[in-house]
Amino acid sequence: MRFIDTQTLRDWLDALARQVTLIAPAPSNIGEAPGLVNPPAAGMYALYQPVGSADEIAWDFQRTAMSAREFLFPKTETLFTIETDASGKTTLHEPKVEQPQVIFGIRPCDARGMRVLDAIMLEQEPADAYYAQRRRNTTLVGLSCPEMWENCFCTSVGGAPNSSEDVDILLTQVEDGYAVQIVTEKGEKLAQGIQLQEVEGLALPEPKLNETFEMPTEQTWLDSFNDVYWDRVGERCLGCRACVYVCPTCRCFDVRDEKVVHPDGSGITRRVRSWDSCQGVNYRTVAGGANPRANPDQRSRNRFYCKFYYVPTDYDVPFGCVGCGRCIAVCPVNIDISEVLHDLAQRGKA
Amino acid sequence: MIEELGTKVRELLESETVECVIGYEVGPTGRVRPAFIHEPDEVGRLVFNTRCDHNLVTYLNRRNKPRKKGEEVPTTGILVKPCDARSLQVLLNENQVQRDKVYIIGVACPGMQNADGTLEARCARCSQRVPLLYDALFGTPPEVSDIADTYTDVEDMEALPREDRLAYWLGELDRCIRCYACRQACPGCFCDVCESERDDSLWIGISDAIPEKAFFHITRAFHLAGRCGECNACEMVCPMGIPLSLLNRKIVKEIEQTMGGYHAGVSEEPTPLITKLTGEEAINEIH
Repeated sequence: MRFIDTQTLRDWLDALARQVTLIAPAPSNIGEAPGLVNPPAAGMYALYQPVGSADEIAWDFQRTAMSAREFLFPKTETLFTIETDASGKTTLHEPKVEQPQVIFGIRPCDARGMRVLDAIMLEQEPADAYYAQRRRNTTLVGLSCPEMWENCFCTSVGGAPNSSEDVDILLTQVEDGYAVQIVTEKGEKLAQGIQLQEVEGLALPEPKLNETFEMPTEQTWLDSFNDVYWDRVGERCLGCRACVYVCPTCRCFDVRDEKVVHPDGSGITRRVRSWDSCQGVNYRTVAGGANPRANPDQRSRNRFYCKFYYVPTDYDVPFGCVGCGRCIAVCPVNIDISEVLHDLAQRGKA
Repeated sequence: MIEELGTKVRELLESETVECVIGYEVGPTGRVRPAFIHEPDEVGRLVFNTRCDHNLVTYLNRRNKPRKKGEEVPTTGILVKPCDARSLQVLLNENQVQRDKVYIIGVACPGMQNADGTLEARCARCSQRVPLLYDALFGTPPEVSDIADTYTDVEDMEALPREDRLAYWLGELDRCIRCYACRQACPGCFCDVCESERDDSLWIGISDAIPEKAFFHITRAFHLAGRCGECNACEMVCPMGIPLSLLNRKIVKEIEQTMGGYHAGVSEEPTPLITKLTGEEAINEIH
C-alpha cells in the first residue's frame, strides 16, 4: 500500500495550488467583522472553496455545508454574452475555457454524486457542453470518512464511507499520514509529482458505520404515487429549497437573458443559467399560468420520486441519491429522506 | 399540561370545530418538528417543550388559501407561543387570516432553548410568557421580571466603521444560496409571487451573486418593517448561518426608539405602522 506523510502531502498541495485551481474544504469565516463585542454568528462553515495553500484547508472537516457540485455545475454561469454598441452592432462572446482544477478532500458520497451528474449531463445526447468541459478539467482527490456521521446513509444507497469508486485518487488517514489508492489514469498522472512511500502491510482503518436500511421496491414507488402519505409530508414542508441546493445530485436549472441597456443604446445581454428547484412554486408553472405541481405535497413528492424512481429509470445509476444526509441536516421542519424511505418500504410490505 | 392540551385538541377534532391542529411532535431521530394532527387518535403525538421553537403561523398563510378554486378554506387549530401570537396578530390585522377560520391554542412559554440547553438569545431578551391572543390557554407561565431589550447586538454593529459593516454583510450575504428558507419560514412573507422570483426578472435576476442576494435580504427586511414579530424563524432556518435577525432588529430598534415604542403585533389595533388600511381593506373602523 502506498503512503504519504502529512508534511509531504501539505507540500505537494502547496505546489499544486500554484499550478491549478485547488478546491478544498475551508472554513468560511469571511463575515467576521473586527471589534464586535457580541459577534452575531460564528460563520465557521466548512465549504469547498478555492484555496491558495494547505494551511487554508479545514483539515478536521466532516461534511461540508454544500456539496462540491458547484465546481462542475456552478450556481450561476454565463452561457454567452451579447454586446451591442451604440450603432447597434452586436458581438457574441463565449465564456473562456476553465482552468484545470483539482478537488481535494472530496468525500466518497460527493464524488458518487458526480457520477449521477455525469449520467444526467453526459450520458444522453446532447451532452451539456459547459459541464463536460469542466468535468474533463477536474481531478478528484478523495478523502475517506473515518465514520458515518449523524444523518449519513451512504451504505443504504450503494456507497461506502471509504469507497474509491468515483474518485481519481483516494486518501485514507492512517497514523502520521495517509494511505494512497490511485484509482484512475487521471489520478496516476496527478500523482506523478508526489513522493509516495511503499509501506508493506499498511492496514486501512475500518470506518464506523451507521445502520443500513431497506429501500422501497420499484413497485412500491409505482403504487404509492397517489398515496395520502405525500399530503402528510407536504403539509409540513415549508417549500424552501435548502434540501435541493445542498444536494450533490440535484441539477435543475433556469435560464434567463439578463439585459443591461445604457442611455446611448449600447448594452450587454447575458444568457445566464442558475440552479433551480422543484420545491419552488413557479418551478412547473407554464405559459398561461397552469401549474401541474401547484400544491406543496406534489412538489415534495417530486424530490423523492426524482431521486429514487425517475433517475434510476432514465439513467444508468442505481439511485439519484448518494446518502450524504445534508438535506436531512438542513431541513427546518425535519423532513427526513431516510424516514420517508423507511415509511415507504413498510407500506410496500403492508 | 400536554394532557389537557391533548384533551382539548381531541375535542376540537371530534366536534369538527377544526379540520386539523398544527402543533409539535418529536420525529423518529429525536428532533422536534411541526405536527399536523388530523385525527383524534393522533393526539398522542403532540408535545410541547423548550425545543418547540418553530413559528407555526407561517403555515396559516397556505392553509388560508383554498387549495382548489371555489373550495372552502378549512378551519385550523394552531399552537402559538407569545412571539408566534404577535405574527398571527399582524396577519389578522392585514386580513391574511380569517379569525373565524383559526382556533388559537395559546401556550405559556418557558423560553426556548438551544440544543446545548442555553436559553435562546431572543428569549433571553423577552419577558412575555403568555400570548396576547388565544381561544384557550395551556401551561403555567414562569415568573419572569420585566426585561427591556437593550439591542446590544445591533449597537455593536452600529459602532463599527461603515466599511467594516459593509465587509461584514457582504461576507455574510455571500454565503446565501437563495434557498428562501428565511422567507418561507416567515409568517410575514405571504406574497403569491415574491419580488425576487418573478419570471420576468423585473427587480432582480436569477444569479447567485452578491447584488441579488443583498437586494433580496434588504428588501425583505424593509418589507417587514413594522411587521416583524421578532420570532427569529428566518435566522433559525438559514442553512448557511446568516445572522438575518440582525437586519430585522435594526429596524425594530429604529421604530421602537423613534416612533413611540411601537412593536408589531402587540395590539389588536388594525393599524400597521406604515400602512393604514382603510375602506374595504380595513377589518374594523379605524379609531
